[in-house]
Amino acid sequence: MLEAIGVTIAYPSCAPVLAGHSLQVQPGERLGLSGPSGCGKTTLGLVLAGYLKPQRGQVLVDGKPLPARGHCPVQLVPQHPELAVNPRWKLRDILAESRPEDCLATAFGVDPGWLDRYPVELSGGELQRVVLTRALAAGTRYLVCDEISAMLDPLTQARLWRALIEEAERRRVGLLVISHDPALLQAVCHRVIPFGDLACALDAPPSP
Amino acid sequence: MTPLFACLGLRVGFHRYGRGLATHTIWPVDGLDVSVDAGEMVAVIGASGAGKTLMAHALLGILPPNAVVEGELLFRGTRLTPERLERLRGRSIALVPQSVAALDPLMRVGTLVRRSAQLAGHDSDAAESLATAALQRHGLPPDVARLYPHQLSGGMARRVLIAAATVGGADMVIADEPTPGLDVPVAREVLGDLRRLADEGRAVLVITHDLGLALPVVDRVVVLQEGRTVDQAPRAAFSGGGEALGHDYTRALWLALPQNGMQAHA
Repeated sequence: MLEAIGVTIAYPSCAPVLAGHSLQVQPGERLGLSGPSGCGKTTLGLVLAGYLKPQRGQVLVDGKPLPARGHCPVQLVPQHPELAVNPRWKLRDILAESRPEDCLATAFGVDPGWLDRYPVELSGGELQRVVLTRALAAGTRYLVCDEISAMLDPLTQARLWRALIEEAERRRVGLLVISHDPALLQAVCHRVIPFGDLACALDAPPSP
Repeated sequence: MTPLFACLGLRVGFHRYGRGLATHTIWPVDGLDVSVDAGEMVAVIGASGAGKTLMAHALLGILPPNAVVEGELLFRGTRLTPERLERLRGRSIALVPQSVAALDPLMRVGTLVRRSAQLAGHDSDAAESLATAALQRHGLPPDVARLYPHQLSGGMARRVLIAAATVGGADMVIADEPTPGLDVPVAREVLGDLRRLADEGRAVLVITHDLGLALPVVDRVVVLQEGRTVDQAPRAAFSGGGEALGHDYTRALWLALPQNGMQAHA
């Protein structure tokens, strides 16, 4: 189980974005998170994937903190795939960062012909498939999907989600799905919670 | 009855160098038909790479120099030559650009909108009152005029872009992807603003990939696929299982919406 317990984060000289927020994702579960822009959804995603250290509270996978090195079991897929890749690397090198299985690239419709291209030579939907393939390498147990299909047309979006759900179910990968689109969350998630309803406890224990 | 604006068989090509000095031309837009009339709002939808933005830039004559444009552009029934387009651009035909980065970061909002009015040919007194009216019309309180772009929220920045594009009294407005990055209520307000421009008698062309969001406010949908117009359908045809939709790709887009079962076939 992926757990955030009493996570508190404040950016300098601002009110805390997260004030003792807690959340749990079970293996194989698809949990939707909705809320207006600026409420802290993306910040929570960054904390869960280990990109931001909470000032208080902690993130646990099966009761253990995230590993300090090696492949993080919680991977983040951001809204803009072009910002998640090195623009000067070819896609072959970008994919090689996490060494995903070849069958995974096939499942996500990654065309072998793309591998010798640079990120700018792919469309947003194509690049997002590459980024998802990279994020779903063997060690990944949970995936934070932060508006991963907001820039796609409906048909490309439906195909991307179909491939992702199939793979997540096969490996019992848990997904936290962040989106502004209530219809999308209804269609792909087992349950949806509004950000405002996340369990909050200001008296959470300080992080160790 | 000719529509206010029509584009027939539009092609946009780019010259590419191959080996040595051999050149060839690729045609990312190849056979595109779109028309829009006064008082009408038309959505142009298609996957990324279908040629939506190239179309907008061709309609405004702002493509890069190595681009070639073929086909017929008609405004008020007469051919749009590059010279005529240059005269009309910013005055009769306005673009609401895709990126909020189009706002000058060092210019206050009021100055920016006033300057747009001046560039459209109004003297400075008229521009001042037009700018104030434009901001007000788009629900921006007077003190917003004193703000810089970085002090605006995403939705406010879009509205400033719309106000700046329409302050000169353009008859036709082209909005390129006006909603990404906005949450649903704000995106609806921005689309509502564009709808109001159509209700005031302008022609509005909105380029988007978000069919679900655009449908409630537009009159007609033009569907692009790989640089071509493959279908045109009135809003009313988008209902139920898409039985009224003539083209397979249009029906596939409709049925792929999350609220319609998110089917991934076709």
